[in-house]
Amino acid sequence: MSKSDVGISLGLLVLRLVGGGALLLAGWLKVTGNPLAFALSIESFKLVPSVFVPALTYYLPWFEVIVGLAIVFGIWARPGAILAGLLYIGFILGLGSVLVRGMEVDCGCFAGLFGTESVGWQTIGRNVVLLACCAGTVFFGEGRFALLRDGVEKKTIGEVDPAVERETSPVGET
Amino acid sequence: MSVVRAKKWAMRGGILLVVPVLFAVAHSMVRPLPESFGKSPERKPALERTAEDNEKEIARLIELFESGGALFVDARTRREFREGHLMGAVHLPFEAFLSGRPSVLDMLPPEVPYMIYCGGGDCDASHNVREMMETFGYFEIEIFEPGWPAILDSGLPIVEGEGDWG
Repeated sequence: MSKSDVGISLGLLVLRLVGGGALLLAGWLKVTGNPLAFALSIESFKLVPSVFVPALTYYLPWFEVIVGLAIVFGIWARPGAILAGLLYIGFILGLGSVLVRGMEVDCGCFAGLFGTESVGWQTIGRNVVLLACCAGTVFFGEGRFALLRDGVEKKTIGEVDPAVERETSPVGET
Repeated sequence: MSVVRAKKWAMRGGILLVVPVLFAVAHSMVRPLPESFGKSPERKPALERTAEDNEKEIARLIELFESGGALFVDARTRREFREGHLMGAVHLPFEAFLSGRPSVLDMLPPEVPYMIYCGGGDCDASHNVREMMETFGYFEIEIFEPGWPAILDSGLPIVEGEGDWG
């Protein structure tokens, strides 16, 4: 593995740690936090019909945790990054609609771990950065520092993915 | 991207979507939402509140402030609170409840009346804080609907800083 390969893989690892790590942290804080507070936080955005709020209250945190784990540890990182990217797009649209409607809503981001903040351009900007990290993982792959690399497992007995062949070829052989 | 890979990603994505359902169902059984959730009384939207409504509420605010008949809770963000709040108000933003029971509740006796305010208009923070405080045994709570702009106009003393509770 050349130095440039290591550099690229480290870069891809950073993308995964930022894009997936933020999701994992946000989800875990909600899972261990107060469900009623999170439900009220969802209601404040006035985007989801009330009947769906309880389901979302319990589903969203676990979705964030599971998908965040997949991305951070590099197990199905690319499908995970697609889902995380869609979630971040949803967040951006939701936060944007709050701004357009001129509402004063507490962000509820990271369960207030980093202090209280109202929804604003900074919260949208943060989600755009996280979306970009997920897009990087989707387009450039999970890199070498992943537990389960996409396309680097045997497809069938005797048939090896070209990526594996490249990795296992002796040095100098093309 | 090959069709095989697309199918593989779709299957894995589907699993990532379904697995959280199992955890969510288990979580909802272990820590259910209170039965009162979603049954809050209807609120009058800010646009439907008349000047007379606001004047009544401001008079009530002044009465409670001058008589010491209630403790005041500021449910706005930390930055807004620092820039100015009603003298003696406690800072208790809604987000403080997201991670559990806020430590500031240790200083607030449950048996006294409270009045909560937030940014005015149709802000939800004061209503959310009330709902959360009720789960911790605080039941005598009023909302000051006109919110912060009306407090500024009320002539009551405003102070800056982190708060009188340290």
